[in-house]
Amino acid sequence: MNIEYSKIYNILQIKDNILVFDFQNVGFLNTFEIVELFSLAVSSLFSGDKYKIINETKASSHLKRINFFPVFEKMRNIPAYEEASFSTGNSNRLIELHNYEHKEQFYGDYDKIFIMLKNIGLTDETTSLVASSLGEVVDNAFLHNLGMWPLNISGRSILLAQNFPQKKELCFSYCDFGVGFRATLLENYPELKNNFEAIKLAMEENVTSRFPRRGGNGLNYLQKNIFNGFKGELLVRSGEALVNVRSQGDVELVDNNVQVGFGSNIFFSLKY
Amino acid sequence: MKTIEMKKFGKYLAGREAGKHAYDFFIKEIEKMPKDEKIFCNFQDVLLLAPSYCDELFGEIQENLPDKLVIDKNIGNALKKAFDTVAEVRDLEFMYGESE
Repeated sequence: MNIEYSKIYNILQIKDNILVFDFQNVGFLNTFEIVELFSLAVSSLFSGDKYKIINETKASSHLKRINFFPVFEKMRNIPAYEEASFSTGNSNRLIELHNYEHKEQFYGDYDKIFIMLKNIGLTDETTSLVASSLGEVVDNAFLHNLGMWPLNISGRSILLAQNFPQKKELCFSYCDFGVGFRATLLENYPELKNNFEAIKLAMEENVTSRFPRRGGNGLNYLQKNIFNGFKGELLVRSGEALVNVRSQGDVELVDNNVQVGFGSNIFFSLKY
Repeated sequence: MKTIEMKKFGKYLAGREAGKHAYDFFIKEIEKMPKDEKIFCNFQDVLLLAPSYCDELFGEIQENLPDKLVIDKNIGNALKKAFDTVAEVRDLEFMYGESE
């Protein structure tokens, strides 16, 4: 999957203390890019309580359909967009943006996730593995950021699930607005210089921030499911570093200067 | 052999805290049992088992009280993968079998 950060950076501008989403020349955003755009917007330093959307395209229409702006308003505690024609979202659909303040909210969505995945036609086994892989990512995010959440926003993480029936591809992107891989692992691995090194280390077996307790199950399990079962892709962005995981433990640096700057976004896909 | 039906803990078994609570329940049950009696874990109607939950419950017991647990050999592949992950990380083996 090709990630174009320049496209994401160009969409967001701050003018007269108003956050502007300008979609000029942006026709499409993939699942990972949408979540990165959201992360950049929600963490942006604008101090006002207004935003607007200009030069609308198919990409902005899609963001409205998936509940992007109501979730953004909720997390930044800002009033609804004055010209908004979009609804506050349909909570019965999973294929939209959701935000989770507590991991129990995610666990409460397991019924919806199972129904969605089975309706798409996945087997019981794949449904269970996809849902538990997602659950491990969410569990890790809340466990590793406990007591350390850096941002004062109404929500700790977001999940976007999208299905592309023509390509027979299901995509998930989960971003927590936490401290990132390096800060999490630094206590046990003080030699880590940056988030790229931290992600690379985290993809190895038995690596955990929970030492002296054992751990390191979650990412190990996710990689096995993706590369031995789903035949999908895995991307991880933490802080300034974006990596493509090509196979179990085989990590390729894609971008070492991502401006989103904090939190961790884990994307995975599966072909069905 | 005592049977514990895992569906009584929920159809989605996920998360470290939930696994720890289940561990406490198991330990209380074990304390009431004769020393050589085993526990058969029945997974009928359980749809999901996450490795974090599996680690906190079954990984802890298997490591501290080996030979106490018998895991239902008819569990599906998805649930089995959680056990495989924990077994690999903890370098131990789970015992699979049937209820007596």
